[in-house]
Amino acid sequence: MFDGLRDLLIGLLGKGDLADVLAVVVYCALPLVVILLYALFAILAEMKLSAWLQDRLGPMRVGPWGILQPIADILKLLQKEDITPTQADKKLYNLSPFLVFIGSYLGFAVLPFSAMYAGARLNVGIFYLVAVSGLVVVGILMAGWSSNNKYSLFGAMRSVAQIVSYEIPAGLAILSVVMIAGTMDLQTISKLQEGGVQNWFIFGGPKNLAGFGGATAWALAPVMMIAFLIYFIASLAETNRVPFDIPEAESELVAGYHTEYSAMKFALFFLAEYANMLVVSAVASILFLGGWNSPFGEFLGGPVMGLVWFLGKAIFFVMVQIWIRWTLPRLRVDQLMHICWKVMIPFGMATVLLVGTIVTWFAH
Amino acid sequence: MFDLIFYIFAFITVVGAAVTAIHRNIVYAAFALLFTFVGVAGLYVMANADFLAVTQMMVYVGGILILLIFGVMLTNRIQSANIVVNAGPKPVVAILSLGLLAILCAAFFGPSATHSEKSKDGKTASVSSWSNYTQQPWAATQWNKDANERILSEKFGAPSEVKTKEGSSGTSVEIGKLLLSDYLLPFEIVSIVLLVALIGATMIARKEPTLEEEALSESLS
Repeated sequence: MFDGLRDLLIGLLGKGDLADVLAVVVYCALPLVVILLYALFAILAEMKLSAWLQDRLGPMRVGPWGILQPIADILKLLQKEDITPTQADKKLYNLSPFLVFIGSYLGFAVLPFSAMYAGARLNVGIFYLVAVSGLVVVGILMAGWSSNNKYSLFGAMRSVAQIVSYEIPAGLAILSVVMIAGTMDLQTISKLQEGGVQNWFIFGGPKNLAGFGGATAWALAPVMMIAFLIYFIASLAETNRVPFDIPEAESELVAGYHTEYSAMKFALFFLAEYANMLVVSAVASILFLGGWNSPFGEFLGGPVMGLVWFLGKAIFFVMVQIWIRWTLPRLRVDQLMHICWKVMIPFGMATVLLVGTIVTWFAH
Repeated sequence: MFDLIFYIFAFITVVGAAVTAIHRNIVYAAFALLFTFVGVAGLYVMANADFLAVTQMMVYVGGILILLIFGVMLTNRIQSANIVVNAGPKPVVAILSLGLLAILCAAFFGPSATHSEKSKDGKTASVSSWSNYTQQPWAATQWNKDANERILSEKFGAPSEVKTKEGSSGTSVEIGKLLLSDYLLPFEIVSIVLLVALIGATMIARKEPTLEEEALSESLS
């Protein structure tokens, strides 16, 4: 797809560095379009779903059934005054929203949106995705510290402690998929799951591989289901969503690390949070549910339908996150640590061990 | 293009390191390390070491840097901490630093440093791929694609349209094989050392519960 784009731009601008550079920029900016459109949709979905779950109507005034409400909200955010507290550390205060957004946008570089489009096909794709989330964590710490506000600092510390702890079970769940696939490249992982719902990694991975029989793959299915659950729960914690929203617990901390931020800087944090939700949902669907593959094999497949399937699966998980948010209460800090260290990590270790044993003994 | 990107990453690394060393505010020094780490990761990518670059991000940015900032932030009155640099009489310091600079310059620009540029034939590609890359800016993508198509063809039994290329496998496969074969003992020793450090840190940081606290926790459970 990159070559096609470059040819198009060369046709428009003539051959030269300008067309090449522009092609790269446009190619890299495509996920941004997806994020912005998705954010509009997700904000509305959050408002509407929460309303329906509480037997309300939700926003009804802007546009038919209130569907233009997110646009009104964005216009409002754009017009707000950009306030910097006088006692804040100005440089770090202004830098941190960008750092957080860059961290979550970097993740989109390796997501295979369809068989045709993946920003960069890295050999270490999923590992890279886990690693760049470190940038988000540093940005959160920066925001919490530079605001010079006790709520911000507490929020940032809780958030960072939580994200760092839950990276371990998430990593273990990811590792079990990587062990079966034998690669960390997300496009290859997606391609391995071609040919229908039974080849998805949640059901033990592809059944038609050379030297990796159907029965072995089926034996992996129950283990992989547990791995999927571990990944999904850990991803809730990594995006600070309920029931793991202790970092921004409204009743204790106002809004957590972005308490002091207003206007577009707040909007950037908000966008980064929603983008992060999409990234973890997309990773769950790529690793366990076939990514851009159609569940019916060849039927309804192809690059364009691939994009539809991919976004459909990812947005489904975003919806589940919203559903959980408006259904479950918040955990206490000790419960949070108990679940991570005493439940999910042992289960994750067991998953890795079992998958490793089955893959090495029976497959090779 | 390749040179430009290299200089950008080098600039980020050097400026970050300089701020870390010079800045009076220790929080700024800690945050400036972020740029150094990211810049070094970028340089690793340009040296064809993709796995190392991502590990650098993971370990240094995602782990060590966060721990460092936590440590700095949790220390009392860190803003007012007066960092006193006292390294002895000034002439001695000046001579020592200049000597170190001379040695480093000799190492970079001396006769032994040019050998990597000479071997332009693809044999030592991992060391001297600089010139190859300047000719094909997007070679990295193609290189990774080859490695993964090889994996696909191995798994699916080599379909006709998939070409297998010799010697184009990713570094993570090689590093994994080496870690679990030739370097297994050092690898295990390092993990035991880290485990000991972890247990030691917990032991030092742990507060012995008083009798009332023990009774309380028992009644709760």
